[in-house]
This record gives sequence, structure tokens and C-alpha cells, in this order.
Amino acid sequence: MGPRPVRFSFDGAPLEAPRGMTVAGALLANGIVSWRRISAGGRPRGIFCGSGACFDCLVDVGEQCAVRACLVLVRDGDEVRMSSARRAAG
Amino acid sequence: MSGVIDVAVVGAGPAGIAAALAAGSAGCEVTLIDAGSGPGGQLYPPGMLFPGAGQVRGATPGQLPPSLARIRQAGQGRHLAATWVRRAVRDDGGVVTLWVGGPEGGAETTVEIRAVVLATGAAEVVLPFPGWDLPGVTTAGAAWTLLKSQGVTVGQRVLVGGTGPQLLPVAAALAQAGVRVVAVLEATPAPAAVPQAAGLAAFPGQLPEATGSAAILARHGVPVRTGYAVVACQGTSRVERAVIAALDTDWRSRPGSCWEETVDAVHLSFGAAPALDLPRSLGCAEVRPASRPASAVTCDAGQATSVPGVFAAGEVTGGGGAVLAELEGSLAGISAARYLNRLDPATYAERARGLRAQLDEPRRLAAGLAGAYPLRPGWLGWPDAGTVACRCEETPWSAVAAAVAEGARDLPALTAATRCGTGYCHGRFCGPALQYLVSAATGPPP
Repeated sequence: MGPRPVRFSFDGAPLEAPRGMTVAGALLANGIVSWRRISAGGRPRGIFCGSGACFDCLVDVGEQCAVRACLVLVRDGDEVRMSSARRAAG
Repeated sequence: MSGVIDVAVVGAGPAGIAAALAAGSAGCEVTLIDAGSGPGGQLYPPGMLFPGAGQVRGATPGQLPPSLARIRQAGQGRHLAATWVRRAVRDDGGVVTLWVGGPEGGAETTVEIRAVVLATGAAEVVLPFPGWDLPGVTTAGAAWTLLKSQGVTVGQRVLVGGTGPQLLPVAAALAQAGVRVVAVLEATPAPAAVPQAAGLAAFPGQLPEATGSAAILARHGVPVRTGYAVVACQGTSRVERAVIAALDTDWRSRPGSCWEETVDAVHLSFGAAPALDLPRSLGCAEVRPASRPASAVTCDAGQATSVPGVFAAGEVTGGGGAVLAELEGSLAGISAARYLNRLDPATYAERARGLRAQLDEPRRLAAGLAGAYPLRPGWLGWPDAGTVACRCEETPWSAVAAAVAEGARDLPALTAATRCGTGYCHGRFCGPALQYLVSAATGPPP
């Protein structure tokens, strides 16, 4: 038996994932591939480079907006939400 | 952190680890700084051996290169993990100050050093086509990292495509994890300059599972098709279908050759583009090899860059795999030690001579491989007017094509006209393709 899974939520839905995963890994493990909508057209984005370089995988976690899901570890109680982050011009 | 230390190594992949070990064993005080949660870099992601990884679906702990095993045993007292270098400045006295912190804000601290080894690696090149921004379409490296570090896969029925020998081990690892790999699509019709076998021979050190990738793919019934590419992806909230085309030798889609495959992920790699943010901020000279769309840091025979006290090794200098990266890292490490006078000239010369002798073969192989998988201009016909050229700014391909038609002939001009490359990723992902586009407009294809 491994350690107890992490319990978190995505857009309010309760989810679990093995301990030690990134937010991206935890979402993918639950079959969720898209967690960001950008621009007026609302085109979906998910993970792309997986190494913190492309910023496609931005997601909102609790009070933190627009963190890279491929870098940040998921924690118990995290409220993960669809992000609409897009850096302002300039 | 206080006091100026001897050496900082930025990047804990094969090159950075070797540099840290070499400088450390020459008596330098070394700090190894890396964005990962542990040493290993993108080829050997830290979670690859994390306790319990074997229980996670698909996680197959690999055989680590000796240097990585050594640094993990050595402890992490001077290893700053999960740390990003935000800024680097070198003062007139030759002291380099690095501003470092966590990935998403928070406390920032400074590290002052007398010598720095840049082993910042590379980002994968992905060429744009309609739908390449759909969720489920990722770099091949992302698929590798997610699988190796966390045992997760993006899709269950996938295509692996692009060009270069790195596609095979990624596809093989996915197949072994139970993913249905519909095909590996190698765009280069016949990688003739270097036989496939020679390409694979380069890999045992580069990707431990690579030995026998072709055999693994065959065992899982995965076809490796040369001269094919994914030229469009379709779907609403994620990729649902991929359009595959047969290519001519210049990578133009052959008329009438297209068909669709139902997939839930597509993993792509067309080679690597060095990560130059840090070298550029320190003023290191770079060069763009004729055959490639991306620049690399230039080094002398001791891995010294154009800036005194700044050394570079591995993919950031142009790439060629983990074996080459480790040797370059070792050389950079002892060169940093020599720069700091921790090695006497005779000892340095002897060690450097030994390393350079070992560098010859992997360098020759790397050059052969780079020449065997060149990007061909036919890909310029894959994007349509609405294809996203710059993922961050959502610039459509029609805008960059118009800017080129109106005279933009280099990346700064294209950026000024279209905002491409001004977003989150600083042009790391649109840059190589757009560099290729403007180069093709000015002369023969690169």
C-alpha cells in the first residue's frame, strides 16, 4: 500500500491523485487534458512542453492565479480551477 | 545566502551534473541550481526513481547514468532544487550575481559566484499546423517526462511524430506503458546520411531505454513510417482526429495522400532549440548553424563562452545527446576550476586532453545526426491562415505571412509587426519556426 492519495478539486469536482504529482499530472491522471481557455474564442489549452517553458498549462490553484500546472505539486485541499490567464500586452 | 562562492552550475541534466562533479572534485565550492525537484533534467526526470514510482501505472524506473547516481548519493546539500534563475548580471570585477527563486513568485534570493557553468538545456522544436494548439497535442518530451516522472499519459491512442532518432524511445516507452501508439511518423523520407542503426547507437547513454526501441515498437506492432507527418489536428475540447500526409523529400504533402486517424494525443518533436535566456542575459556570443533554425552558445575548446568566467555545456551549446553533454560538462567543470586557479595548468591540460579525446566520436555522431534530420521547407505549407503561429499571443499564421510579404526579414522585424515572441515563453516555441520562415524568405532554405 502506498501513501494516502491527495484529495483536491477541479472546478468544484472532488478528485484524487497519487501523492507527489504535479497539478498537471493529477489532472491527466483523472482524464482531464484541458484547464485553460484563452482569448475571446475560448480556445482550450492544456499541457504542451511539460517543462515549464511554454506556459500553456497555466491554471488557477486556490488564491494563486496562473501557475504552471507542470511545475506545481498538487496538495491536499487544493481548489484547482480553469484559468483564463493571458498576460496583458506589454 | 552570503559570500561569493566559487562555481554555480545552472541546470542539473547530464551536462550540469557532470560539471558540478568535475568542479567539485577539483576543489571548488559548487552550487547546482535546477528547476526540477531533483537532479536529472528532462531526460532523467527526478521522479523517475521516486519511492513508489514503480507502483504508478507505466512508470518504469530506468537505468541511471553513473554520474547521476553519484550525485544522488552525494546528497543535495548544495543543490538548489525547484529553483529558477530569474536574472543574471556580471559586474566589472567578474562576480556574477544570480537572482533565484521558486517557479511562481515568492521569496527571491541572490547567489554570488566567480564562475558559472550554463547547462540550461533546450526546448523541443514543434512546427505549427492547424490544430497544434489543441489540448492533447504535446511535445514528445512532455509525454516522456509525464510518463517517467509521474506514470501518467496524455492519451490512450496516440501518434508520435516529427523528425529525429529521439522519437523512437518516446514511442517505445509509451507502448510499454500500455498506450496504443498508432504509428511513429518520421518526416524525413529516408534518413540516409546516417543509418537508423547508427542513430540508435547514439542512444544508450542518451536514453537508457533506447537500446532496442525499434524492437520494442515491433513487438507492440507499432509501425514506424518514414516520409509521413501529422499536418492537422481536429477536435473541440481536445484533439480527436489527426490528419496524416505522405511527404515528398521536401516535406510537401503529396496530393491525395491525406487520411485521418482517431487519436486522443499527438506527441511531436522536430529537434531541439537551446534555452538561451540566461546566456543572453550574460552577453554570451551565439551562432546559428546553417542547418538549424535555432542559435546555440559558442564555446572554445575548453567550453568557455565569450564572457570570462562563464562556461557552457550540453544542449545549450548545440546539442548531441547525453553522452556528449556529460563530457562537455566535465570539461566545463574543470575549466571553471582552472579559471579559479584550483587546478594547476599541467593537471588541467592533462585532464582536458583526456576529455577532448573522448569528445571526438560523440561530436562526429552528433554532427551526422543533425545533418541527417534537417527541417525541410515543405512544412511551410502545413499551416493555414488561421493556424496559431505564436501560442502565447495567438498570432495567426496569416499575420506572420503578411509581415514577411511586407518585408520583415528577421525575427525582431516579425516581432515588431506581429507581437510574435513577446508573450509568456519569450518566443521559445514560435521562434525556431518563424526563424525558418524569415530565413526561407531571404534565400535558400536553412
